[in-house]
Amino acid sequence: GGFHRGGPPSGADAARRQIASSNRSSGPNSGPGGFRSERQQLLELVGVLGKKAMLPVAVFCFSKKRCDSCADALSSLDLSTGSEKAAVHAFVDRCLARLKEGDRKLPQILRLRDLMRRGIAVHHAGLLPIMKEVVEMLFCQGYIKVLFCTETFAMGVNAPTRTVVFHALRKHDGKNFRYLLPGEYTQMAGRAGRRGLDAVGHVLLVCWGDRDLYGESELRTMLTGSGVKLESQFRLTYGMILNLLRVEDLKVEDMLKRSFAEFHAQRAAPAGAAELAALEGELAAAAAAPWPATALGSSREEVEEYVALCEELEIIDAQLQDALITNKSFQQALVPGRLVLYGNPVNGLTEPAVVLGDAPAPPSPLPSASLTLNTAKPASFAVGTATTSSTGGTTVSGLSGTTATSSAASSDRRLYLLVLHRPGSMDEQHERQAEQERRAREGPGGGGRGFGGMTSLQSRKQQELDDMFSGMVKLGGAKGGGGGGGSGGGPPRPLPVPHYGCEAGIHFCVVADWTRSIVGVCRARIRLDGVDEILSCGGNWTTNAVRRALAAALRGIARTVDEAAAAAGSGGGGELPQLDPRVDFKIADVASVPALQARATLQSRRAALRPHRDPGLVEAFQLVRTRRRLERRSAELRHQLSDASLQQLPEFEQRVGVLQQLGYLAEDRSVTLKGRVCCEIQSTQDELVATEAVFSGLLGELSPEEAVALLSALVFQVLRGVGGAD
Amino acid sequence: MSAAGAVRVRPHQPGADIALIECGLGVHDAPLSTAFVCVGDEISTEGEEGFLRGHGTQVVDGKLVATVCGVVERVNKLIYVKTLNSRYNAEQGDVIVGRVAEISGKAWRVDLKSRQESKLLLSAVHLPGGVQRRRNAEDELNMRFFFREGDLISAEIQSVHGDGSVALHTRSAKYGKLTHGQLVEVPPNLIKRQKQHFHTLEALGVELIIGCNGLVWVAPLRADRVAAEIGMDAKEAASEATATGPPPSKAQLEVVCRMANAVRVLTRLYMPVYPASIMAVYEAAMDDNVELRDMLEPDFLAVVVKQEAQRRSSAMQE
Repeated sequence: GGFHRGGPPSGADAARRQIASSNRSSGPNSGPGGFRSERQQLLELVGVLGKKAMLPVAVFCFSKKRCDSCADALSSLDLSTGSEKAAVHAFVDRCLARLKEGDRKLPQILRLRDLMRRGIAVHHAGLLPIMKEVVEMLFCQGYIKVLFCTETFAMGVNAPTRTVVFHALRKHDGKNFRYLLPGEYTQMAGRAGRRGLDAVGHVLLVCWGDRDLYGESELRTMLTGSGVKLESQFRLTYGMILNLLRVEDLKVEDMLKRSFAEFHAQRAAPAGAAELAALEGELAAAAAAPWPATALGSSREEVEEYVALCEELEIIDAQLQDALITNKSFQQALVPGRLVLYGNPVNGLTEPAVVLGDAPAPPSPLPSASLTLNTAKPASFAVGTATTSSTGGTTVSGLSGTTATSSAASSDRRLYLLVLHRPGSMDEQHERQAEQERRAREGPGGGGRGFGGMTSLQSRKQQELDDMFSGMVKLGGAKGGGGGGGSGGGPPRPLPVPHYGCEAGIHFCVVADWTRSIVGVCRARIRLDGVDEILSCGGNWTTNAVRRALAAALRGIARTVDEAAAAAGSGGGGELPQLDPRVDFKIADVASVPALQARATLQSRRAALRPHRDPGLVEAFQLVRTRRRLERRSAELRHQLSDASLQQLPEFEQRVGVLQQLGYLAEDRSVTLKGRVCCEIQSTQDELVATEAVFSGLLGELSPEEAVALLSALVFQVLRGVGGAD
Repeated sequence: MSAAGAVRVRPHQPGADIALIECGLGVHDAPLSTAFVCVGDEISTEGEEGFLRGHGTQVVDGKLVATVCGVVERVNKLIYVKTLNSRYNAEQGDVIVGRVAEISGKAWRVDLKSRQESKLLLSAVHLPGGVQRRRNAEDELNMRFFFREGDLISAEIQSVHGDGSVALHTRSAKYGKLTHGQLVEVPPNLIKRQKQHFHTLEALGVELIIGCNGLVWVAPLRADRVAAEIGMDAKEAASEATATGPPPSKAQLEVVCRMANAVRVLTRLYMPVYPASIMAVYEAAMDDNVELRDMLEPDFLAVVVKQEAQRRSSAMQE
């Protein structure tokens, strides 16, 4: 009887079926009768397999002796037809022809020939190499129906079979009996099923008796466990370092590089080198670019300082984002009319803005790969920024080093912001690109009926296509633009943002962005007249009402900013007075408070700089920012490509330090006499101890027996037979 | 060769160079250093219990006595005397320059001027193109294609066997046959063991191999050495260079001769030979506009000694 199981629990290969056939009789080793009964069971098993057309079978036994005894147990069985017998005979004859006459009569060969003639064979390490090969070839050709083999057959030879039988599930691994490891099991069971011949491969676990029934937990571990992970076994030892340093040819760094631990890093090296070369070119181009004239005539040094401060602030802002956006008071403070400081991801500047109202979340987040701004942003950053944001429907994540991870987005709000914007060359491009995406999203169905229903599978597919050909496809170009008028009734259509413009002599942009890009909440609020006009304009920015409302709001912001600047005095300052997150939002956790303090000081320092008030800063700022980013990336790459990034290099240096201190290496790392002695000592771990013992005269006074006894403590068992002479 | 450039013959004055050194370093009246011993001198073992008696020492009447002239070296409790002059004693990892003495079976016998016989097995040479394969009978027949008797080769010591015989290997493109250069013989004790023994002085266009066995090879820098560094096969490039490459210019050859003479100067003065010392002598000669043939004259030797004395005293002050 037996019990069947469906697929393997791992579901790894549904075509593999596992049957645990348990023949209930006495165990294999229980007295003289054991062998007989095992023999009967074997015969029965092979008979069943033959009837069910599950031959050929490979039976894995875990000892050579067991293989042979099993094969002998089938002495009465004959599985070959006459023609097969002839073929086997001829093949073996041909193979053995190269042996000497006498050698062909060896007992092992004779025995195996008899077995193979009947379609049975054994395969284990005890066979003569030529016989092993003969067995393998005959098995692959299908002449051998039952093969008793050890584990080696699963490892070296690619010889699949229809059925695999496990004679036992426990094996002796040199130390003790243990269950097969999942990896070993997979390797052997993987032999079942021949490509092109079998629809199904069978794996049978044999239980010879009640005693051999396997526990569920053991089986589960073995069948479903994951294989052994490949790990670098390369360990630095003092002996190795000395041996490497004394030959001129080899560098230890090269050795470390070739270790498996560095495999992935080394494989990425050519790509890194190529990227570095490209970066160098871009850097050279950036350095050659002329310094743009700014309105206040900010010098390069001033802007450098300013950018450095901005970057520091960006880092702090990123730290604070999570604490802020989950804060209730913070969110409550963001009401229409509130003045905020907006960290504009497009140009990297911090700009004053006013909250207009809540914006709907973008319907389907586009992968950020489609958001690359081709000219403004070096293409090489695509790698670094692809992970930064997958949410920003309208943010250009590539330009913002600190855009938060998408995980935060779920709890975040999106707001419409009216930003007092410093115009730059990138604005137009940004707007155009956003427009393109919007159109792509609205899809071929076009018509601008709003986003809600448009996320059908088809349009999403289309969208993916668009992403692939980003910027090249003009889908629904004619329709998408200004069809806003149709959506009179329902919720107001989302504004086509970003929108850049100039009203009442003040440059502005309207954006929709997550609250986490708000880096500061000001005390001031302004009155917003006609904000509804703006929010419901649906892209018609040119109507009088909208223009009036925008102009009023912008004048309000500008006035507040001017007041702040005036209040700070002529000396500088000019940052808008902000709400103190510690007091007003009651943020008091240990991590955030110092960050908030640092942010406040940095912001006031930045506000004191001249470029902060420079309306024409954008171009210069961009130039410096891009260059700095390129430099950072190239420094990073250079480190990765150099030896300094090797994982084990610090350890190597430390060990060299030890060796120098103990006098095994000279200052210039040449190996001294002591080091040479150490090289000759064959010990896995304790070469230093042994060398010190020698040079401290420890062994001098001892009799040979005593010395041997003492040093035996330093010899690892496995090397007992090998290193004894030393 | 003009009359002025004719070879000058000077009678050999034994001890003249030594006197020069003593004069320069002012050591003739210096107190006898305890680190320096002569045969029969007692080596102080005070304050050291259970010392280990090393090479060049012997215990006579309960006292440790030197059996050779040299410098006393102490490593932990081991006391040994490093002789001032001896035959080369091979150690694993040394870079050597040697001459092929004969071909025997599957190996070349190489003369290292060493105490021990050394062999370079056929299986330990770098095959053209860096291919890795078993050496067959054909390779054995073609061994003279690699190195003939009398060829000068650079190699590395692979191992020193228990019976004292040495196995070499040239399993890298940088080792191999040496042609078109000068060989200078130096007492092996003067060679300072360093991390690098192959030096290419690109500014001067010279390559320098300081063999640990006391043979120093100075040669004009050839294209194939540069090629070997970028991974080309040295032997192919070498055969091309010897066949087609332009012969080195006169100026280049003079630099080579000057470098070789700098090594000879150091040998005469019994000073350590390593790249910095060679360069120091070379530069001193260039600064003083010493003619190539005058480099071994006593006048210049005195200059070198003075320079060395200065260097040592400043080093001591530090």
